[in-house]
Amino acid sequence: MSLGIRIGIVVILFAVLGSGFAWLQGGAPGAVRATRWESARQCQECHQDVYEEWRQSHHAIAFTNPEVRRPDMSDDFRKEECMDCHLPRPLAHTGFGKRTLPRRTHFDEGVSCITCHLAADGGILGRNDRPDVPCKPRASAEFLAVDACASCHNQHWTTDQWRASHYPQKGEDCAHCHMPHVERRRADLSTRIGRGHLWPGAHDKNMLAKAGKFTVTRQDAGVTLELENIGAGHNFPTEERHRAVDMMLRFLRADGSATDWQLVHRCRQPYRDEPGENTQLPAGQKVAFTVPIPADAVRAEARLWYRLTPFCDDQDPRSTLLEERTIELR
Amino acid sequence: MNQISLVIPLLMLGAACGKKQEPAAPVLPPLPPLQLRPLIDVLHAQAKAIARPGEAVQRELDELAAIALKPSEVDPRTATRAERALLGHDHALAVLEPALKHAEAAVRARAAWLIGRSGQPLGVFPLLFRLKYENDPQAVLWLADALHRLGNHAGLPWIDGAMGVEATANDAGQIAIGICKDCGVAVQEQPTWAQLQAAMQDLHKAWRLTGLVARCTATAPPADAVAARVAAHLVTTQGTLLRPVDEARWVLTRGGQLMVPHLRAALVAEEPYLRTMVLQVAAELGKTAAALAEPILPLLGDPLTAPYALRALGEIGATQFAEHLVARLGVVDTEVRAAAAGALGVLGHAAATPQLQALLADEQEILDVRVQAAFALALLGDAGGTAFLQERKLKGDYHVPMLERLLERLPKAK
Repeated sequence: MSLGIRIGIVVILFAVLGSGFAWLQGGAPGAVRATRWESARQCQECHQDVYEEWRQSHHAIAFTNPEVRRPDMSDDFRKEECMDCHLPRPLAHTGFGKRTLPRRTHFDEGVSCITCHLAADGGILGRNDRPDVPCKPRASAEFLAVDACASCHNQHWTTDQWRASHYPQKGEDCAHCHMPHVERRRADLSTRIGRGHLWPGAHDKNMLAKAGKFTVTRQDAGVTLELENIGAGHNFPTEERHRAVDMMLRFLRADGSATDWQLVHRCRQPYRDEPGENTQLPAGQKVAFTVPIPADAVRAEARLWYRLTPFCDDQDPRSTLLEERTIELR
Repeated sequence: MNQISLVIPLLMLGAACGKKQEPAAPVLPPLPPLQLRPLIDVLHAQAKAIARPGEAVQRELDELAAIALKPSEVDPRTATRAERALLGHDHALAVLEPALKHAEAAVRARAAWLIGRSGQPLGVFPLLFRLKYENDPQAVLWLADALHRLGNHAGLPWIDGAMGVEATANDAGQIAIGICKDCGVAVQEQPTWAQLQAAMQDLHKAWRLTGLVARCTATAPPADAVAARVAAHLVTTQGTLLRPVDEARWVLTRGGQLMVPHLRAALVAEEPYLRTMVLQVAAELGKTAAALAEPILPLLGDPLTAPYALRALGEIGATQFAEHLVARLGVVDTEVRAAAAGALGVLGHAAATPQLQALLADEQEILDVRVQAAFALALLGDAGGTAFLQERKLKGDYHVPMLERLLERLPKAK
């Protein structure tokens, strides 16, 4: 073999090996420097569909969401402790179920793939062992357990509420509702069952509507509004103290006029310095209130509202109308 | 020989064909050994040791406080006696501290006034805590005044602000004049609001640098009593609830030198949340916490808390350890590289300019690191750094609030 051919073969060999090695280290040119797993963009290369879902989720905007940055909230994260959960370092670094630590990089990624999937040793955690794929995920029971959510979501006892409910006995954990099964397509176009990465919750009307069963009935001289927590494996509402569920009622007269909307009951945990009891509705429980019917009323209209803050009115985009019921009183 | 001469250029070619390779691990200066130990139980025990009076003494104090907090309801002589007895009592805080949360603003203001005159510097803890939540403008003034009397100038911005509001301007002005006199700041016979406000700002600036109040006459509190109070705040980081942590941070970052020796112990806590909290507090305390530089240094070897340690070393002005920061510009951990870059700028370590410029110019480098390098260069007077930050702002390709916060810290162009 001539020297030229030998050089040619070796050049090609090295080029292929060099490129392959670089790919294993971190992905396509132009991507972030892949010294190790640290950005969701690295995951995007193979998991485009999951990445897109996550991008639409509130986890992705945990640090950038203007709602969270308001002065009465994190005050643009001047309240640094808010960063622990809104811009966390990988959960496994501090321990699942334990207090998280904040990071100061990848601000636009909030709570990302790395937060949950990165192992303490720099590897990747997943549902199954997959040594055959580039990120080589290892199955981890801890990563799949409720504790993985608890580090941040037990801030207001949400996972404790779940533990106290009948849902653990049913075998329904956080992922059951918030990461439902979805069909995923592999590169070879075959399909597999994966988990959704949108985490529907307080910002998802369908999810909210499934949580409570709202009924309105006439009881003698009154109208009874009843709300039962049939779909949330924790209190309804849960999480932050400003979340509120309002049962509203008004009466209509024969001439078409109506009484003002009255707040019959609000399910909410008051702020720490606010008077009142925690009226959040635990899983499986119900509340009912009866309002006397005015003499001239011909119809009653009832509404169930979910409010992201207790101080927003019906027109505010932070209010979501979950149910509307009308009953004739004549 | 022929084969060797062939292989060497080919190896180079092979490397060049791949993506940019991992830089060689930098040689890091040796660190003192990291000796962490469990601390949370120790702190809980310390926090429980906050001195409380016995039942009989508490009853006596309650009676005195009932009179001293509402002196207008009794004859002046009785009020003066009760006040004097209360102020001279070692456990006065046991009744004055809860009174800071009284429903009536006048009682809260009076409680603050009394704590200020009690000469018990431990009163700084409840006063600072109340300052976070107090909404009554008059009560706020007396909290700030009391803090000053106990050797803490964290409340001066409130006095400064109150001079700009008609309803509180006179009282704030009187308090400001008193503070100036106490601190040896010369004031004219009839100073203007602007002069008094400037004096408050200067005194506050000095406080931020030293954590001490000039010519303060308050006696130092027993170390174990301060340790107990600090511990009570530090243990809040154990849970996941954020409000108590927010409150702890509020108090500890405004406590000045009083807190510093007691933060030191928690830097060796095995619990990462404890040492992180202390590092964050130290960074906020700035040069006041300069004494923490040595105990912070070993934490550069701790993968969990090294980024916070770097930031803290920068903020407290640990120039003696600049070489450790420079060495970490080349490590693999992005958090650490970014923190080291920013901290070098805050330190004003001009010798790191070439390394920072190299980071900034490296288009393969993660933007967070380049932004921190640009920030550091801008602080060091390198126009390229400022231009890079401005360019990010213009292009909108970096997190805007973070960028704005960095730009806010840059010296304003004259």
